Amino acid sequence: MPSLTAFLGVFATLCPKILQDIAFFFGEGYRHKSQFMFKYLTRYRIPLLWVSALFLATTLSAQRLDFSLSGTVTADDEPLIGVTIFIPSLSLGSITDIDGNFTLNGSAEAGDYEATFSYVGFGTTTESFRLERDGQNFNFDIVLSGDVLNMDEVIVTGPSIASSRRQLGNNINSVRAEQLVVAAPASVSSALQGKIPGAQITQNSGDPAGGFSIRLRGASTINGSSEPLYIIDGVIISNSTANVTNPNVSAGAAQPGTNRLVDINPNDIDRIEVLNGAAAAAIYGSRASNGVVLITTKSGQSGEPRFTYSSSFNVNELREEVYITTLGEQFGSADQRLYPIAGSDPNTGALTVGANFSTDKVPVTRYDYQDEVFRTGSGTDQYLSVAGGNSSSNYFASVSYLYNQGIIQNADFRRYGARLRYNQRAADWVSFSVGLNYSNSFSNEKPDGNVFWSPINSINITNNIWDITQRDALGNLQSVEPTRVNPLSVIEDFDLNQEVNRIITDFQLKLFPFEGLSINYTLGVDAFTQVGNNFIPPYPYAPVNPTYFDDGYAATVNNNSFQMNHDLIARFETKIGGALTSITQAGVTNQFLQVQNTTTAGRGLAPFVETVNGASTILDARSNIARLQIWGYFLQQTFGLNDRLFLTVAGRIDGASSFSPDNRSIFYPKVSASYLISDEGWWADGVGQIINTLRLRGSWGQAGNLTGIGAYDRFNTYGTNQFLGLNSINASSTLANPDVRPEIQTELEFGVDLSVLNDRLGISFTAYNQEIEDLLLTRQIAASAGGTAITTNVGTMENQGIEITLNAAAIRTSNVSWNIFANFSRNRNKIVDLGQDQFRIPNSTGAPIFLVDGEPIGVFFGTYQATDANGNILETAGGLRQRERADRDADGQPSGEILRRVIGDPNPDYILGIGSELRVGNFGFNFLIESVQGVDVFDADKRTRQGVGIGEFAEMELTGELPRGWIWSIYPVEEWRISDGSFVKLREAAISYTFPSLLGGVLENTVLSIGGRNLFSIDDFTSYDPEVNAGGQANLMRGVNFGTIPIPRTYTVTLKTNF
Amino acid sequence: MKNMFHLGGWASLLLLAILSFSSCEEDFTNPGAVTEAQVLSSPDGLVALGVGIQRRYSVGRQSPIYTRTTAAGFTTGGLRLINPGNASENELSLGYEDLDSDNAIVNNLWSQSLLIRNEAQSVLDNLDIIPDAGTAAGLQAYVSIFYALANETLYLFFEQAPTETAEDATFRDRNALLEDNLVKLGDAVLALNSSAAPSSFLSRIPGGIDLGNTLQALIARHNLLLGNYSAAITAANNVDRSATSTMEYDDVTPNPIAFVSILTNNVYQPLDLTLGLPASLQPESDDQRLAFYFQDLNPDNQDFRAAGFFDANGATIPIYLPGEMDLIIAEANARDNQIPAAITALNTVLTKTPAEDPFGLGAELATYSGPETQEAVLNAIYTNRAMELFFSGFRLDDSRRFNRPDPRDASPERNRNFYPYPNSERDNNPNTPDNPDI
Repeated sequence: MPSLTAFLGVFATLCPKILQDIAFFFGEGYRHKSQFMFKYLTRYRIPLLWVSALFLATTLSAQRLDFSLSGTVTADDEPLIGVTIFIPSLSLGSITDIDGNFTLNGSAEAGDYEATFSYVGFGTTTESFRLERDGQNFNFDIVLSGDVLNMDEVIVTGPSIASSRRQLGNNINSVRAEQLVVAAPASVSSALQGKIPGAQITQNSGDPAGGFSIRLRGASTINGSSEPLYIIDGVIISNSTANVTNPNVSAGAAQPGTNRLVDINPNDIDRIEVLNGAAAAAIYGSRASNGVVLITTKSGQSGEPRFTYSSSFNVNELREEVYITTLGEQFGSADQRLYPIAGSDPNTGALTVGANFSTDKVPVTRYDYQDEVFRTGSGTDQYLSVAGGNSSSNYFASVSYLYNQGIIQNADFRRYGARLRYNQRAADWVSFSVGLNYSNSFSNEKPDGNVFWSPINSINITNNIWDITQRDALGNLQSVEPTRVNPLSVIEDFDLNQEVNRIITDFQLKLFPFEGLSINYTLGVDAFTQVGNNFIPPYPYAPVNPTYFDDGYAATVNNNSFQMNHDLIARFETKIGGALTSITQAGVTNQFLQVQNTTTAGRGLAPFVETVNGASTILDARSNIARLQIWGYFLQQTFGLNDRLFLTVAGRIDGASSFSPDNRSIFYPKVSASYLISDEGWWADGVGQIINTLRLRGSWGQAGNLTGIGAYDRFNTYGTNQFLGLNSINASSTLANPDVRPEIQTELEFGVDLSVLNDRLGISFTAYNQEIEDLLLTRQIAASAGGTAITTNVGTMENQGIEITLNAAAIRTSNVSWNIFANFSRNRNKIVDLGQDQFRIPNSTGAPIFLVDGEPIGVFFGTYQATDANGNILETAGGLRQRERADRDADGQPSGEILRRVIGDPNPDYILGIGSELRVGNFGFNFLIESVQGVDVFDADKRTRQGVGIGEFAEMELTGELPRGWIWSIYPVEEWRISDGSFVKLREAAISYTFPSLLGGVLENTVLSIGGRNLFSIDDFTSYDPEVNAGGQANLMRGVNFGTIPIPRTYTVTLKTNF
Repeated sequence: MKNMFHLGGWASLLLLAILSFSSCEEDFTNPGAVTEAQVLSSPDGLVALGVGIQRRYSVGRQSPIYTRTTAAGFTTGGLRLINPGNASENELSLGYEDLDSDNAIVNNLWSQSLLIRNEAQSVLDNLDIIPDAGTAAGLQAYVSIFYALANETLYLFFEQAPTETAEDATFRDRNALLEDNLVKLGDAVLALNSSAAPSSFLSRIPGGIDLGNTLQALIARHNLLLGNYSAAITAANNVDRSATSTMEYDDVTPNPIAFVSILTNNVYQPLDLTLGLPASLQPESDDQRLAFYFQDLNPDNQDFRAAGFFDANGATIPIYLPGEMDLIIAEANARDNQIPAAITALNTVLTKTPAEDPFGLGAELATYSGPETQEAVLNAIYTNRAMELFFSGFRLDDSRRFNRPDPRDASPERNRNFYPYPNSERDNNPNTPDNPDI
């Protein structure tokens, strides 16, 4: 028993705050009906809970002396409510009441004990007392001082690894449960928006099943995904995007659709740690070059079952319509298609694009189809959890239901969830934990933007002179502009849906064989089946473009994903002597991934049949299986001196089956240091009066990208195709380099954390430099060399940037507290040594997306407006626009070769988040503003609307504000479609009121809040919303608007209570 | 409690966990694909690759069948662009400097032709692994046809091109492409003469292809273009006029011109009954071939649409036409100043009734009545090639070969002479020559 006690003592030293929280639940504290209780309900952690349980077991069997602690806790001469008083070695805790008073009763063996006093945002104070006889009372009056930097907060940094912030050489950002769910977010991604410095979190589409993309410190690969690695309770989970609802769309580089992080319920999350760069994430080695998002879910507690119920209702609406002209005239005739850019041959009457423009106007009736396509949607989120346990086991379980309607008619998303976390102490040196998370997600969808038969694009591409609501005697919708689809056909008749059944489960075994040593084994499994059903009925009218599947289309797509990870980690901590501590960690991991995707599709549907059974033509059937094995070993050594100077050295070796045996095993080293200067004895009285806390940190590390190429990309393979009922094989036009190597990111990071103004203002500053060498790249080659591309290692990409965080405790009194926080980040991305000047990224939107040597990833490189020597727009004699060319003719007009240059950059200049949490008595006010500046968006829709004749420029040609032919003249100027995508959005706002006790104490801490998400946007964008990615989660196709559904404004009402 | 959870039990559990790491290093191969080595060492693999070569040549918007028809049509003013949102087609229709090295159709003409030739060469290099001589001969003939068509496509649009697949490949004058073709086609004729392709082979390639007649037709065509007139006439005479040789389609792999453009009516259609030719060279209004190639000879709003081989997803496209053989004989004789012989061959085409042609393509006109001069007869041949070989991709080369007014002429009949080399080649091959002036 003594060795165990000592071991636990080490934990207590290391993680005082966590133990305090745990003790709160194990002691008498949970019966206090404090209004702050709910904060603590969300603040415990799985592994350490067990340690506490062990304590209970040991203390129960000892001889007892009763004692009590009492006193007052204040800060800035104000009493503090809800301060945790905790005796780590006894696992006893309590909290202060409204006057800052506390009483803690307990019993223990005689001996020396320590009590800690902690509160979020304040430094922890420790007092010691000696228990000698029965019935002793100890009185403490404690004055806490601020710790806005949360130096003692314990954060998760690796598989089963937690350490206090002060030990870390990297800036790691944490988000706690109560910060996540301010405005009832439907997904984890939206809950994080604006809260993480260095993270660009973009909602790619406003579809309720649309995707999000997260980029930490910019793009860090070209070939693979730049999305971070997601780990939930030790399970590496899939955040893949599989296209199961638009298999008939060849969208080039685009990856639209739902990314599977959507299956995770934010309500189940206790905290999230974001490891931005390679240096912080080196412990994850091969898959960490995009950063890591570590999610810890809620866990159980000892005591009677406690229920938490939350219910929210939300309303989604379109924030702003796009301008559609309803001017009742057009050029030529009512039959003239594409009237702004086409005319009719004067002799033959044939449609002539770009010539024979008529200036005669005819009356027409115009409609705004947006009124038929958009709606105000509503949704609900119901959540019930229960937690409880006894001294040797505990549990946390929840069930949830989320339903959310999109702002497009007939599009919605539904998610059922159930989860269980069970912790069991099996012996005093063994515990285990089982986690089970099931979710069922279902969405009714419409085609995404990358086709002209999507809801928004069917508006964009159709002249609005047809009444789309008209029907024939059978109730069938009627034809609109020849070849086009009636937008209401998309809304009413298309049936696209997908369903995902997913299980994420883990088994964790923890052994504490002797003092200082712990061994953790984690088995994680993430398995899901995803089925997409697609049905486009034959159109009841003609002519419809055959490439829009005029004869009907049905497809079923199955996507089965299985991931498993084993992690075995040992940790040994010991005092080497004097002030020097050593923590050694070693681990081994083995991961297996398998994804099978099967598509069956057909066109030419029999009436009423909605599946491929009714197809007269079966289209190319596909079944692909990708298998990948990843393994690795690591060793990490940390030395701590006086708990203020820390040095960590780590190394990791990784391999993956996607690379050849000679090229797969890569060593990833890491070094980091942290120095909390302000903990030095000489600090407090000198400069410490001004700068209360000061920490310097730095780190250097490497991380790889073993998933940067597909499972089989190193093999030169030939593919098969259906062709006239025969076997048909073709060489892949993308060649393979069998000796391809993993790309390696090297990151150097420096930072300083300081607090001033009597610890009221915390400032963190981080600067980093990333270099990704041996970039994995499918680069173009000359076709005369036998292919059009090769997957190989070429070039280098750089990311340089800074991240600044401010936290201010502006007001801290017993009745009013006001915290303000801000984060700022900027990142500069550049590709060098590409091996060629530039090459094009294929896509279906017309966006000239290129990789250009010396420029950021995915810039727009295209034609631009001709200008004169003074930079003014050079028009033709007739006042029309024109592209810039290499020369000038005798009239000073452009001639010769058409010029191209970088005309836009979708990577933002900077991102700024500003938030506020104000509490006045039982009222709470929160808001969060996010500003993303310096983004260029290629707005394909802008031009489409003008060419079709429904846009504002088309109207200006009709009214004569612009010369006839102006739209046609600017049609080839790609620069014209570049729009400023900068925005300032009110991401979150909420007003809440807390009822400490309702129904005679049955309901505790009932919170009613009213809030909203994305309530307004300040921008100059030319279509709906500048926060848009037609390319979905695609790495190379950013900042393109092509029929993408805009992000709605959402209002929420939430009621949350405990009983 | 300690007894319940015996040390041994936990140790074995831990052992299990460790054992799960023992099978760490594994290698996987793609069950849904085949490696290059497997294909090239298997007779079945080579035949399937041959079929894939036809697929690459004939299926999809990037295929030479689509791109050569589209490119030649726009460059010589024979097509009507319906929607300039089709950017590549729009640039082709504008021509001159508006057609730049980044044009997707030009890039596809170039790269798909080179990929086809490379795949075909891979088959030809490995024919010796096929044990059955007849199958080997049949496959040699089959892939040589597409090898030749790929080189022909490069010849029609570019001044120079590499003749071999290599890194930093060197460029040669375009005539070298056709000379290479004649060697390959000649070898194939010899192979086929010594062992006929068995039906067991023919059932494994798409129907519609007549190997022997196609080889002779391509030999005739390429000899004509190289100026080998007597060889051209000999080969053309070897082609059976009642035979057909076509590329087949179905709803899964539809005729790309029909599927992309004609049926959607959203990319292009033929200009009108003039075929975009100057007044003196336009087809006569009672030419029955107009009714073959146009859906309606008097449509509302002059909205002419293509018919013939291009108005259904399953419509087959001929590799050569019987009438082309007679026009080759006519042109070879005319250029050799054998005017009466030229007129005789030309009259075969002019007087043929639809019923006499295996495709139903016949002019059913009177015999040639114009001046019996070389210039006049060549003009008539030019018109008849434009009409008979409608939508077959020869218009640009014909316009050059018959010395029609070039893009710099006051009244030009084409907007480019040759196409610029694609950036994909120039950026990656230092041997890429300068782009043609126009």
